[in-house]
Amino acid sequence: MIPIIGLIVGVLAGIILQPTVPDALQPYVPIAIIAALDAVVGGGRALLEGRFDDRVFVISFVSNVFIAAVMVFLGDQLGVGAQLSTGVIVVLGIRIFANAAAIRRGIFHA
Amino acid sequence: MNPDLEPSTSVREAESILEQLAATALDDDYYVTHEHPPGAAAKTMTAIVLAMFGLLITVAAAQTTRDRPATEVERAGLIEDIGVRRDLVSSKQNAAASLKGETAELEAGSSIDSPATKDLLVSTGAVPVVGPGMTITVESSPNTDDENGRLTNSDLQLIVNGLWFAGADAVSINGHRLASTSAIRSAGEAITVNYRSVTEPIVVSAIGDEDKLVEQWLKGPSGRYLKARADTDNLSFRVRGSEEISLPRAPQARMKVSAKAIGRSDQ
Repeated sequence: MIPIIGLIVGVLAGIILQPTVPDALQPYVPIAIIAALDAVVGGGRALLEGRFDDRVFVISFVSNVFIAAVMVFLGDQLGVGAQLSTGVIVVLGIRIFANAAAIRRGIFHA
Repeated sequence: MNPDLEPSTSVREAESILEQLAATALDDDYYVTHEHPPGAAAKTMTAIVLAMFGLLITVAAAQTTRDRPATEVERAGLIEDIGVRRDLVSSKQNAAASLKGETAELEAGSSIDSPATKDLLVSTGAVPVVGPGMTITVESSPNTDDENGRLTNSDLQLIVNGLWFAGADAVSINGHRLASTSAIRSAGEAITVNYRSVTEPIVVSAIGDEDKLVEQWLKGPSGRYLKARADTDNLSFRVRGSEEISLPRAPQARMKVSAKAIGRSDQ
């Protein structure tokens, strides 16, 4: 119950406070969202399969977002930002779809 | 080395990478059994992380929504720009087309074919000329030790001026057509015409009325001078009238004059 409240609080804070992402952090937002989505969908699948662990979820979320940001930063510095971002999106996209498929199987048995 | 084996193994490898990705979609750590039940602190951490996630998504969405009007304005501005530039291009094209038409009209109405223009073209050396005329072939004295016996640039200048005086329409020296800015000069031992050196025997060709030109030139000061030179310094010269002589046009560089505009000088 507490995690759901956390999610709602976060969304409400975003809507009410309307903070602006600083220009310097702007390029990291899309890839960070993909990485966070991967961690959240993975957590959802684990929850459904009855093996959810708060510690693993927190660590996977934070490390996912951090590594995605580092890769974007590194890619920008090396001049291969677009390619690296594409690679990250492909890999995380496959993981998100695989996990979403598992959730779908778990719920609908199909 | 078997060529059949390699592609099959590489294909299998590629498959396995994708399969592996799909198979390990869920972090391995979730499969490790956790004995202890989650504490309140762990739950709070999850809540905080989820709050961050919600915040991230909301902020991104809100910003995109907020920026949309600006993006739209920019887009509209660019579209408008394109339209303006297109109009500009088409108006320029129209202007070019009308100017082209004007040029054609002016060319059609020009007096380039009038007799006066033709005379001008001939006398300036702008066109090649064919017609009756005369040639003068001059050579230095065979005695090379005699300084006075050598043909000089002033001899040539006198010959040419005599030809103009005798009524020549066009003159060339060894195939170098003379225009109003042509120069006959000496450069060391050699004589230059239009800045090209000419070698003996020097043939001066002139176009004009054949008989009259020959007669006038021989009678004129130029002919008399050359005759005297031939007598005293052993120069040789031969005058011959001709039915048809063809002279080339003068070089383009001799047709142009560039000079400072006349005006008050600051110095």
